[in-house]
Formats: sequence, C-alpha cells, structure tokens
Amino acid sequence: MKLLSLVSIGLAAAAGSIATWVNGQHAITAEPQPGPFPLSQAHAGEALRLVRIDAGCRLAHRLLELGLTPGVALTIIQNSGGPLLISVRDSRVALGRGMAHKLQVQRA
Amino acid sequence: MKTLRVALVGNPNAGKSTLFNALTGAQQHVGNWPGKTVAKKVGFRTYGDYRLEVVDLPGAYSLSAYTFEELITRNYILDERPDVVVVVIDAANLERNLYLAVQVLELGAPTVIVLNMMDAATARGYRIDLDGLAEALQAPLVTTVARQGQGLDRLLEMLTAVAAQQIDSDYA
Repeated sequence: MKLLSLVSIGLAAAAGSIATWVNGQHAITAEPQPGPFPLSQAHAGEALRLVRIDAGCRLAHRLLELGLTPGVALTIIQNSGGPLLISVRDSRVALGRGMAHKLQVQRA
Repeated sequence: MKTLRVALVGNPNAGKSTLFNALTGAQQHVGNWPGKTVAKKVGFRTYGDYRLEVVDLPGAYSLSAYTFEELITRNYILDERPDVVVVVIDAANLERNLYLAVQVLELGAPTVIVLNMMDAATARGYRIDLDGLAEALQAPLVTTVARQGQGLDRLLEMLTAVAAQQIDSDYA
C-alpha cells in the first residue's frame, strides 16, 4: 500500500503536478492554468466565468438560450464523472460531458 | 358570458404555476422539480364580464423547442391561438427571460408581460426601468409578486383588456 502511494507521488511529480493528501486519499491537482480551460475539468464549488463556446451552431444556440452567454458567471455544483451540474443565472443546468468539453471557462 | 383563453408561458421557475394558482385559486403543489409542468393544467376564474380559462404551460427557455415541454408550449400558442399570452418573467433574471418574451412578441400573439418576483429583484438591489422596458418591448407590462398576490388585480385588468381587444378586432 505504502509502495503504491509512493509510486503515485512519483508519477504525479513526473507529470509536473502536485499531489495532495486528504484523509488518506490523494488527489492530483494540476498547476493553475493561466488561460481558459474546458468546463469539464473544473471542480465542484469553483467560481467560473464562461469565456467561449466551441460548439456547432445548434448546440451553441441552445446553450445561449439557457443563459450560457460568454462572460456569464457560473459555478459547478457537481462534477464527479458523467454529466455535470452547474449553476448559472439562478438555475441549475445539467450538461453532458461532451457539451462541457466545448465550454471554455476561466476562474472568476 | 364570454370566455377568454389565457396562456401562461415563461422560463422554468419563473413563477407560472404560482401565478396560475393565485389567479384560479386551484390548490396545487408548486415545487422545484425540473419539467414538473408536463401535464396540461387548466383553471377558471370569472373577472368582470368574462370567464377566464387559464392554461399553465410547461416551462420553456425558447420557442425553438429543444425539449418536448417546449414543443407543447410552442404548439399551444401557434395552434390553439389563446386570446392572450401572459409571459411570466423572473424579474431577478431579466436577461435570459426576455429572450423568450421577445420570441412570443415576434410571433405577434396578443401578449402581456409580467415581471414576477419583483421582491427578489428589489432585494438584490436591481432597479428596473419599467417605462423604458415597456417602450422597448412595445407591450403592456405588469409587475407582480405572485407568491403574495401582489399585482394580480392590475394583471387581470390588463390581460382582459388585451384579450378583449383582440376578440373585438377579430370581428370588427
């Protein structure tokens, strides 16, 4: 078990990431990214700002209708694999992972 | 007694069902389940010389009809031609809600715009230029707090006026 953990740290270090330990579980936290990144990579509770929608016109249209306009503030309620639940303009919106990949966000 | 058909449309959780209950006195559960208003709910009320038949349509973000509920809403407005469409707007969330309002207005349906949850908007420090908004939309505007019954009399007055005018012009 200990050996496995050490290997994990080694891997994380090799990948240029920081490993943090919480209650015996470890999470590999990426270095803060300077530019926009896909919504799918954001964590629950993070305050974000939508920067860009990289989607076709149909999906982009629908996302705009839901209030996901560039510059809007949003927070992630849940992102634990599968669809994401976000909060935007006082509404909770569920997004498939594929959609979340197409939304570029920045930390607010 | 003439019957006026009134349709309530708006974004999910804008307060359509609360307003519906306040208008018709129907006792129904108003909750927060997404897409809860899938069943067609009709309520009645008499106001002045009219019998109002109020339909609580499913929540919609757009008339482009991406979901089944939105399709029901669009088709009702287009096929059933209600005498007046009441667009219920969450005043604390104008930007997104006005999108649907403009779509309804562009259809040319007789419309009354309701800015609901005015108390929530005020609590957030929003100050809405109602005259400016009514002018820009070119539509009658009413403010309400449906939960507390505020603004209902003015809304009834307005929607019967708009609906009656529509009926008159049909037979003029």
